[in-house]
Amino acid sequence: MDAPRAAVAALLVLAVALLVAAGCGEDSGSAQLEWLDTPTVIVPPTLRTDRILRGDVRNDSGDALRVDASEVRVYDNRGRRLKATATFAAGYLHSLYPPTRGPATLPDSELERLGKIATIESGQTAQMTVSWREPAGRRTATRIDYGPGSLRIPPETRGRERDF
Amino acid sequence: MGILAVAVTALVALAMPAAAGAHAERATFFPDPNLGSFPEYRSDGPSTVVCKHPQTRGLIQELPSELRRYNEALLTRCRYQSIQTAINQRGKTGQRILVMPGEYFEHRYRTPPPGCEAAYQNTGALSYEQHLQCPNAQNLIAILGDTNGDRICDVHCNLQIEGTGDTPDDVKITGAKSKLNVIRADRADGIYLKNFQVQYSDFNNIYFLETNGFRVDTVVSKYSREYGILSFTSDHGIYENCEASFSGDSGVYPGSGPNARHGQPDAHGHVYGIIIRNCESHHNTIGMSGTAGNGTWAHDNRFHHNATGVTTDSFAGGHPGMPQDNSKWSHNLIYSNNNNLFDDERDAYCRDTPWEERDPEKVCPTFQVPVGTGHLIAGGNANIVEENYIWDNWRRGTMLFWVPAALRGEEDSAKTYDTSANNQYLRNCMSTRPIDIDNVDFSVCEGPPDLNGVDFWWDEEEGQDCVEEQPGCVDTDSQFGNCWSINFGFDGQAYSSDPPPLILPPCPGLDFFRPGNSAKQAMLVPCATWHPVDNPDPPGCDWFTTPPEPQ
Repeated sequence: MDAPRAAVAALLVLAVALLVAAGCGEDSGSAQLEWLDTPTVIVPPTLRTDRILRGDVRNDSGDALRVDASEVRVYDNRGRRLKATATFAAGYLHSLYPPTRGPATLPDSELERLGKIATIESGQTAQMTVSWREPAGRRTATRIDYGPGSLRIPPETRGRERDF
Repeated sequence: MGILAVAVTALVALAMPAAAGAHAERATFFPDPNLGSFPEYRSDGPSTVVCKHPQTRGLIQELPSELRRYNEALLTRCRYQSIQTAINQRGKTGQRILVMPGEYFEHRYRTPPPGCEAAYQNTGALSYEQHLQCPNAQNLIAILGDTNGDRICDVHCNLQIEGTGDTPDDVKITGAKSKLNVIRADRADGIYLKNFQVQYSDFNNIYFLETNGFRVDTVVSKYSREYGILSFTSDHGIYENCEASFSGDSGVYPGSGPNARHGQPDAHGHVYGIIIRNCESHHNTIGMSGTAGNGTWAHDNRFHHNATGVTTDSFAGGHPGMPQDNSKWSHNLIYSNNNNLFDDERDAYCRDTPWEERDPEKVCPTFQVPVGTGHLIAGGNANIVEENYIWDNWRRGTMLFWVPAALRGEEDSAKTYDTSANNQYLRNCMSTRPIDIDNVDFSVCEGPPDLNGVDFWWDEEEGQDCVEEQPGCVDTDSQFGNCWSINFGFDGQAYSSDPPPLILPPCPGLDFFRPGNSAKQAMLVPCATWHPVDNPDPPGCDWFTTPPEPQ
């Protein structure tokens, strides 16, 4: 390869790398979880600054994946972390124990029941609910980081947010 | 399959210990509903007197004359200054323990006897045998009725513990915030508690467990860290004329209610195994709650100024008798449950103030609830809410929603939609304050307006009826779906509801499966992530903001 060609190739690699780093490619991170379908985003009527996203994720990593809901983070389009919370529970529930009085550690079966963790076998799915607060009330969130990888919040959900 | 066997099977399948309320408890079992009965008050029979020297002598001078003379006569018979000691030494079956005016701390049972040091430090689940060995490790007063392990009372049965003052606050039994339970009645069939105040437990002020036949009458419960009066896997129980306030969880908690009847009378004609009547429960996180609160009839009570008035649910694991079914609420006053215990100021206070130092009237909530809600059924079947006045609950008068079976630890995916089905809301008077709150005619709906945020809220799910052969099936009803009939709003007008009244099915309802409104259901989910310290205000959850007063 001659010098100009090598320089162009290097620039292309750099450009692609920059695009990926900027989140403009496919899902960032190691892409172990994928949305099974476009998730739903709801705007609660009494909390206009908040968003609730529900969707099914599939583990495409080839290995079982253990995700801890407490490590889920939501970032906006400028990479800033938003106040957020996540659960794998399919509905509202509460713990067997008062939150400040239970045992120091709970078995995984109880953590899974509570939606605090999800162990997703390869090829299997789990329902995830992530909610976050938009400081200015308009939608800026773009990415959900779940520890070992991240999920893009599909931009098409923006136009389909359900005012409820 | 017999229901008792179902409960046993379910328990055996659990890896976690069972829970009463929501704390660790040994695996428990329902008493045989064909045995036992509702206890009756006895004014005669063998008795033992307990008094508090020198306090009692002074206090009885303040009683009305006839009662003073009665107490002066009792004082000459007093040989005990401890209720527990009187039970231990004189508490034969059928005994009446007469407790004279005074405040009882039971000091001698606060320190461990030899061999019980470890048990006194253990706040986890003790076995029944461990309680027998160290009765006061977790209990200020323990009435343990079974000595041969058959779960049926054979000692200290049919005890009656009664204050001899003029009102409940003449006799106070005080937990001093250290014991999990102030009074534990465990397999203590036939127990009757009357006319005293019980306060400052670290978990339950009064705790009935695996007890077939209990009655708590004219008792005041205050300042429990968690529960005021709680029953669990018990039957033939009555809470009556009680007042329960300032509990971190619930004032009254009939959890894991009798699971055998499913709305049908037992051999003695009893449709409901637990009765709650003429009680007032206020300024708690919840006035009345009961996970797996089956077979319970609450009538002629007042639930007010709690964060949520009443709940029954199927969303915690480890409770025998799931899913919840066949309870009834009638002729209750459920109002003004807008007491926000989740605001920033309370969050900070509860986070920064150790339990022992807290103002007893500043309740720190144990669990999260939707502030401003009157009556909530979360994953229940075949309940009846009938002829109640429900007003001034700023979020919702009533709520009904589905709870997926997996959330209670159910692994059979065929049961995913086995709640909420066949619940009936009939002839309730909504958003109307009765003209005379002390003399309410429940056959009419009259009074000035005092609006709920929305009178009836439903997630629009209709659970699946199951086939009788399916293990754990409790909902074979093919007659009713969730339904609303002859309910009134203010001045005979239409009530408000979400979905709109035209969409709420009139009774007998539409008894076919519908998964519900996913957006409504989704809005409940972030509330599950609440934690009083780490996550007191989860995004997406509006439960902890006081709704504006409806106009």
